[in-house]
Amino acid sequence: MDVAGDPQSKAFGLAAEFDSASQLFHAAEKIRDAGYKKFDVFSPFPIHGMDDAMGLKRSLLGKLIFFGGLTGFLTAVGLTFIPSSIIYPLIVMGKPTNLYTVPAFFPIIFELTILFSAFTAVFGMLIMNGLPRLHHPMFNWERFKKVSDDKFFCVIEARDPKFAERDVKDFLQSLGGQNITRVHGD
Amino acid sequence: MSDHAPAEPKPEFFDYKHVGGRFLGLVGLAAVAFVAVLVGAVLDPKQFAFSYLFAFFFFLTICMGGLFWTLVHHAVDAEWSVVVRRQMENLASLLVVMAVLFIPLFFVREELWKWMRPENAHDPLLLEKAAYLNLPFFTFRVIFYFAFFILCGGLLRAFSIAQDRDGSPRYTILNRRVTFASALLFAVCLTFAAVDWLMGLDYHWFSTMWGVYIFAGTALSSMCVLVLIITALRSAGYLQNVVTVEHYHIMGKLMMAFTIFWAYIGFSQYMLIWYANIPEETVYFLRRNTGTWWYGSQFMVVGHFFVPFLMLLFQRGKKTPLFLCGMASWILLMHMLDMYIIVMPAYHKAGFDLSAFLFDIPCLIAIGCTLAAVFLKRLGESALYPVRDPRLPQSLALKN
Amino acid sequence: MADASAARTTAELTPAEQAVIRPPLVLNKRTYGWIGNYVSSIVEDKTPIWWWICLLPCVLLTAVLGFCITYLISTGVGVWGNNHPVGWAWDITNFVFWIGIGHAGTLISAILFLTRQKWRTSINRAAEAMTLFAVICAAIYPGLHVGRVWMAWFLAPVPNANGIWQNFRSPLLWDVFAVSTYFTVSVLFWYTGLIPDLATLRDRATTKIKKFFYGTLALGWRGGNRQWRHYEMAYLLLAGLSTPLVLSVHSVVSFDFATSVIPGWHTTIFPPYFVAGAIFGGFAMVLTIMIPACAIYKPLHDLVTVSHVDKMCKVILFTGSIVGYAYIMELFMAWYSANPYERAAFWYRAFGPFWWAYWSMMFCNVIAPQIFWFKYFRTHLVWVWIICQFPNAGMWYERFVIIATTLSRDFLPSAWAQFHPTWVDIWMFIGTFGLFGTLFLLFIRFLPMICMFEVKAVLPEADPHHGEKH
Repeated sequence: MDVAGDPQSKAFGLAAEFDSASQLFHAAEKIRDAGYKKFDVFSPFPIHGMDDAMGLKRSLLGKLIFFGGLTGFLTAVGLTFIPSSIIYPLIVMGKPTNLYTVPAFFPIIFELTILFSAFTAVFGMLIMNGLPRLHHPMFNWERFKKVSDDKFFCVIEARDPKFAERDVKDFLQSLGGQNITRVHGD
Repeated sequence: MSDHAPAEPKPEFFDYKHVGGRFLGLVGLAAVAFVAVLVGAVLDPKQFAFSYLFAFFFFLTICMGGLFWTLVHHAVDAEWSVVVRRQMENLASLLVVMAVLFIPLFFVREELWKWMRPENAHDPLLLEKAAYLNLPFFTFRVIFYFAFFILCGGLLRAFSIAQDRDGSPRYTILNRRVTFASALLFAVCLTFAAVDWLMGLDYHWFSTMWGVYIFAGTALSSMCVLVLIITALRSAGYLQNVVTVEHYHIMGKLMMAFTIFWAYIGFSQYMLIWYANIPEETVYFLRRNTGTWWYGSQFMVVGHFFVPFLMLLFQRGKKTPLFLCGMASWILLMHMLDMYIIVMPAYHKAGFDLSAFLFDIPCLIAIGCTLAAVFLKRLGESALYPVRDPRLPQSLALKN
Repeated sequence: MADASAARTTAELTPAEQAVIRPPLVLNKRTYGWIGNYVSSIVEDKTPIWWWICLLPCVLLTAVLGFCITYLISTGVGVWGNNHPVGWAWDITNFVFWIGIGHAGTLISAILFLTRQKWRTSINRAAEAMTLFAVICAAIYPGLHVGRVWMAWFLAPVPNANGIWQNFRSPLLWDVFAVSTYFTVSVLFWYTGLIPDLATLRDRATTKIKKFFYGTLALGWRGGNRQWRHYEMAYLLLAGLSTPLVLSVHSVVSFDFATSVIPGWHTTIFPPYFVAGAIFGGFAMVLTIMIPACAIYKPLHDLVTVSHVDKMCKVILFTGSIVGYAYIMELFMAWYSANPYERAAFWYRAFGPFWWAYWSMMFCNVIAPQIFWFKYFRTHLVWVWIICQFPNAGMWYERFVIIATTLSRDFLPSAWAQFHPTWVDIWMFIGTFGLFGTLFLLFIRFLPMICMFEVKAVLPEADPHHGEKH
């Protein structure tokens, strides 16, 4: 079996290479059914339905963003009403200074809600994905460079409770995985 | 990919045993309501005129929306909507009935549209507009709008049904042609129908956004009706393997999108008039934001936008047919309120008038039951979905 | 039925059957590897001569722009032709023009994404880049128009020593919020879309500098499904947020005019009409750029196919018709209002001294795009490119007609005056094209101009059930 990275360091997991999206998809289904939890599949593009195949739930990001938007909304309400209605209530263009001036504040409230939501979406995604992280054991494997090109990979991590090197190797082989490699950190 | 499609389902036809006596009940109810409306019309023609216009336009928007969604389907060559398209076509085919139901309005025209009254004939403002606001041209326009609606909706439906027989893609192309030829005319007819019959209630007032505002309500309300119709059919045992939760998801998303669009258009129109504060324009909102109309207008902001927006924001709701039906009914109620606040303040200046409800409700029942009865008739005339549409496999296999 | 027709070859089908078959999104059965290789090679290969030849005039024009800005700041806004009563003229015209151009990028990346129009994948990257560059060009004008540029930070809601707060009820302040939000979200959206492609460039990089540059920007993207899961959700959410955002931005721009009481400006249809016009002009600009780019990199025609162009022309035709609808509504309501000022404003537009601008606008925006009804003109790229120049020009005329023409006739004849642009007006406008071109050329050279991972995902073999029989 090939070894990538520094063999002295702790093993990250066993990785295998696949040729097509459908192979990878079915491999993921079987890994899920075999009861592995700490595994991942890598592809050059997102594969439709892969979350189900891997047994992953829907991303939490959608719920998170609601709170981001709410923060933006409240910030904007404060930003517009506190100076213009409380600190220095000034009648401009014949508009009231109380709550009924809200149509004139609405554009700003709207924009800030969107802005904060967008920040939540992007930075939430990066945090949930553990990015930026420029070093990762998988990068020690030379073949893994093809993941952003046209190859598909899967890895079953060593920290999975069911992980046993020989079993996993045979299992990956039975799934049609090629170039099965033990990936280490560096 | 189409290789994921389930086995081609059998064409389904509507069986009247599901409605049975209820069909006659509808007809009977419509007849009774019409008698009540007629009595009302004799007793208080003016109140009748406004109540009837309100009910008429409420249902007209739904039917025009059916036509709109059919046009959109063909214009963008959509896939997902194939399975629900027949019901949109059926909705659009009700525009024939709406044309007949317009006739009573013609008799009470002077009660509704003040510019037709002889005593206003010398209003200098009206004289300026006389080239547009005159009875012969008005009549011509009424005929033109309905002729267009009936022709366009009729052709689209006829070609679609013809395709059920031989599955020739020629009909898809024909419908596309009809769509391209009529898309612009549809926009014009909808806009000027809204200008003539609603904006014309106060011939002094004007807003360039008016047609778009009415259109927003049109598209939204008919999508809600579509959800209700599809669910009713499903609960009667039809379309079981045809319309899936994925289709509901898309219909829910469209409800959401047009809830936002309605709010966007409504807000823009209100805000611009409020902000510029020009008396000749503010007159419209002044009346609708005073008296008890104020409560209705305020309630609409919450009920027509915030409630459906928050409710439809999350995916789970859009994928639950029962929930979506609840939202659809709610939005339809709000759309009804919207139409009410457009029409009725032109007569009752101070606010909601309880006695008006005695007229509104029979009008709603009369028109609604008539349309429902004709719709049931339409249901049986053809398969419940376009069984041989070339895009049907993709629509059946829809995955979001 | 589709199954029956699939058994026969394409040549045996009737024209109607052929017309309902969807053309493939990627032609010539290109593979993942080819897409990655070819698109990356545009960035990796030696800089071609034409690139330098194009860059030179663009940089020169950018320098002219720089000079004009320096001259303007050191002398004063008076070097523009703006003067009472035409206080807003070419500067705001150009601002609205450029910001409108940007809208097509967001439309392609967000709205077409939400409506699952897969053909967007091969054009969204370049269109989004165009959005950013257009917004940069746009932001220059109001930034300078404030007069004392060094006080421009007063626009931001920062409590300052004078204890003055901004007027949050002013449409001009809404603009600040709308445009800056739009720019920020567009950058985020663009960059999020770039991450997987930057990872491709990182993995292919041969030199240390490239490895560092692309490696840092790719943030260590690995393409694991546990990442894609959040990534796709983030992208979906950004698309969902950008859609109302893009509607709001040009609506807010239109509020600058429509909240006023000036005849010709105060009209309620402005918000949706501005948005439709923006998409209309923006799509024309996308095609203006993409057609030459694909002509230079010929194999890109397999990704940006004639059917893509055909669809974009249809969008232009559709939005052009909406714009036409708005023009007609404006004219009709101006007449219907029976307000003499309102009527006079439109009469002046059409038959006053700026009649040429008005009729150019009408011709370019409403009449010229109608030629796209004919398939021939939607599918022959040279024609498409030529016809797209009409919306490009027409949308500028539209803003000029709305802004300068309207202002040159105030309510009272004593406040009537003509507008004449100065050389600074003219060269600044030309200069922004130089800036736009420079940024775009840099973009082509250093970043993948086609979204590789999304194009790979629309290949038939990217479907996990590809080739399975049921």
